[in-house]
Amino acid sequence: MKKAWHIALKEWKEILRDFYVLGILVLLPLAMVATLVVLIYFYMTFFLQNLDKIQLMLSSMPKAYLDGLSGYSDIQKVAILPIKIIGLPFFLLIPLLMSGIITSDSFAGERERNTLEALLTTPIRDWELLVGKILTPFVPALLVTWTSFLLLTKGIANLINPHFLSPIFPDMIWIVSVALVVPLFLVGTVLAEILISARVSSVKAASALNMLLAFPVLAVMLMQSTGFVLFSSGTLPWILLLLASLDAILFTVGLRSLRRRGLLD
Amino acid sequence: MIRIEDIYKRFGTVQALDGLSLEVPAGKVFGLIGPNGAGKTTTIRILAGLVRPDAGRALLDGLGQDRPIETRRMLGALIEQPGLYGKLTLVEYLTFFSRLYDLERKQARRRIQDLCELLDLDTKSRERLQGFSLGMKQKVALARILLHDPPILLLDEPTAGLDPLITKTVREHLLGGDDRGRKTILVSTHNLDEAARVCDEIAIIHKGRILEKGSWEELRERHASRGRVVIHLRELRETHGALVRQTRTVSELLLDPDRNTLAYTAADAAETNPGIIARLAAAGADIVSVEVEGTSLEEAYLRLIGGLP
Repeated sequence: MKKAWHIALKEWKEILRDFYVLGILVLLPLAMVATLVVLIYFYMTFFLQNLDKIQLMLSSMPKAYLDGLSGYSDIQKVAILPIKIIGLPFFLLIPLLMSGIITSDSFAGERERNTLEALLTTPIRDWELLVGKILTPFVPALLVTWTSFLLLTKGIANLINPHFLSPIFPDMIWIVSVALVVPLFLVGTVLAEILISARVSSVKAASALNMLLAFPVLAVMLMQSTGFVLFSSGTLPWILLLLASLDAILFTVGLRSLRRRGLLD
Repeated sequence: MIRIEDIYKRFGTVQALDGLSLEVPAGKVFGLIGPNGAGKTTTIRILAGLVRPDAGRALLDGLGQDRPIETRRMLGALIEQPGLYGKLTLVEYLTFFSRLYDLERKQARRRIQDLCELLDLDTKSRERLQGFSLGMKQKVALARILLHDPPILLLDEPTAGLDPLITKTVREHLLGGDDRGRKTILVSTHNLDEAARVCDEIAIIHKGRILEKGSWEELRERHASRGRVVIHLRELRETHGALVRQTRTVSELLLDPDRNTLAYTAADAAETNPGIIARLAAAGADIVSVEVEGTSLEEAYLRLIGGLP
């Protein structure tokens, strides 16, 4: 495991010295959180100033949104749309984008710069190499996502009257999602991106193919907005189980297909 | 010891290695000479465990690629055009690899310092690798493969693209220095001069097969026998030419009446010449001198790989 850390440490050092990559890793999540805070702010301000519109809004919302919210006030029920339906999937999009920036360079970048062969002739085991390559994007992407969550919490608390929102943000669904769903989702995403990076010949191709990984997140957004599947206490255990299983499958596939000689054959 | 047994490797429609076998005894420097695409790099990559052969075995000290960790521990492999992590400094780069080779921190620090001094890199140790010239990068790659002091070195064109001064440094430290006789080295090159200087034995490889193998002296002896012979006579006559023409192993006969010389190419000059000279003398020819221009190894090499008639 030590060698996996050494690989990750080396790559973090390189990331920290790349002004553009570092800039994107800091600015992109900040911009996304700011967008979400502003969206929630204007949405809530509109309904607080137009209370008569609340009933109209509630009647047009899918019934699934409102199930289990009987103890909440109408304004809190309305707030669920930007905060949970749109906000939660945002926190899958942030790690996806963050890891994509780093992982597209993983094996494809090493191959482009002729550095892979030197690495593969060292006495490092295949799983150590894979874990090292997973840790490289996983740790910064997770830290950025968790920091973004704290910034969102702070932003909402400062801009919007917390009395309205405290029961629904951050509730247990949010906390479990950010603490458990995000890391499990991130491991799967990183593994898929590594598999792509190991198969293509250039960073450009890896970046292009990584775009396809946005579709599952878009699908989650779509399912949330139609009320088909919601992040709730009922669905969360199943979502966690599904993600953990997918991660295990992807790790096994990754280990098999990343047999070092397969990377260069 | 390095041993390759009947290896075949095909890339698409190209047969890169076609039943190649060779053995490098422990402590020897063995040169693989051949043109581009001959199969030199593929041979080295198979030995380094980077490419899987379609058939055959590659063994390092008796261990095959089914024991990858053990074989890589005893190996230092320099594959052509080494890429470096440009954002790291020289020391950071070598420290990273020392960790992968399981060197203790203290031991690694000392080894890195020694190698930097040995390769004249000590003044650059805190600089980022992205600013290094090609020659400097090659020296860094050499330091990397020597970090764990491996008993076996695989060097693919180690001096390609380097200026003469750096070439000399590389050659001295890697192939002719203190490690001579202590390390088993397989070096690929298309530089015959380099091979002649540093290799105990060489093999000429072409289209994935070994065409010739032996020590430098053996090969020179074998090929010097096919040479051009120039016989200078006091007075050249037509009958002298006819006498030489009778010998079957002679070709490309040229008579020069102005200079009184006859010249020919003999398939085996050592055997052919005494007979011809005896016959000329018996016919009354007054022989002034006999010159044998042996085929250089370069000519022999070009002829072997089809570059010369």
